[in-house]
Amino acid sequence: MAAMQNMYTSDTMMRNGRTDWSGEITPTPSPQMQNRPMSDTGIGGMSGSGAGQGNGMMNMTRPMPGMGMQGMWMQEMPPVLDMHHGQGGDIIESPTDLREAYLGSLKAMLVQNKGNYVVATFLIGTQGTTSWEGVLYEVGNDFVTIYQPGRDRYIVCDIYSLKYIEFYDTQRRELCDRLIMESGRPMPLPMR
Amino acid sequence: MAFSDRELLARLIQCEAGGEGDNGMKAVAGVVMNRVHAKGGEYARVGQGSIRNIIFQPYQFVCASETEGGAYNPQNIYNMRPEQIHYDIADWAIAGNRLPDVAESLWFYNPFGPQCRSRFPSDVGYWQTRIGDHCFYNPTNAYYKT
Repeated sequence: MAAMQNMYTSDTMMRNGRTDWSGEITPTPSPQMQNRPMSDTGIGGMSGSGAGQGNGMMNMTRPMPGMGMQGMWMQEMPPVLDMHHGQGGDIIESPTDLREAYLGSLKAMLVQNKGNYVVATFLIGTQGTTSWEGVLYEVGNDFVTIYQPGRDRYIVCDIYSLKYIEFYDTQRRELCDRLIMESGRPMPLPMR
Repeated sequence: MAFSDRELLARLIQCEAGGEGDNGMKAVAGVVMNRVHAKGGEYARVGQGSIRNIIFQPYQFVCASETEGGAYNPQNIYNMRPEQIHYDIADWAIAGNRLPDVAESLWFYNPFGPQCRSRFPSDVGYWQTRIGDHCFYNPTNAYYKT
């Protein structure tokens, strides 16, 4: 069973008295920056494809912690993951049929973001939790399938005990790991 | 002093499904909680996310009423003495766990016979499965228009 180290520790995440999440997930570079040579971007060869585009996520105007190149400024970048349900308020508040009820549900959100790297936390009993990480491979009526490329295995999980799920863009996973290593923060424990 | 939501649910589980085994009780608990978390339709409107509102909604659970058809109903939640298993199942359901087969069900009833109706209570629910003596029903499109 996978053991996940919680990277979000308050003592490492404070900046100017506020929690700073900028070092955890690096937005994909803007199209202008994607075409720059590696020496300019410092991250080299990132493509911007992903699950979909949404509103601009954040305007990064300060250097990312742990970046290998000094003076690396991240401009406003669209998110790769599409975490908006895209439905009108009336559908969410008062669905009129099964389909509308589904569109505003967790299942629809999971289906919308299939293929992304996730850490899924499940409730065991009433108080215990366990987490599985991997690629969100499939979403069924009452299950989700997580694929672990490192172990080349599929884990089919009960969707009804799924409590929360963290999404990571698969294309940025290696970048995230490298940034975390460069920043000197401890890496997640290897899976057992 | 009023019963807590947890106490109400435990008593209802014992009253409605005490003789149905663990899965039967879990399924009934799931129905109650599914109504509490209904995305739309009558139970969302009436329940407003409250376990108490759902349990005491009129003409829903026989065990929540001391009278039935004008006569005293001795099998009601006030006469129950829930045991640890009933509290455990109430906690299990409140925490969000569901039996996969009845994870969407909003109705159940005892047919007192071998056959389950295809629809219950009307065209708002279609037959999903049977657990013990109870037939369980999932919502149809019509439910969301209630």
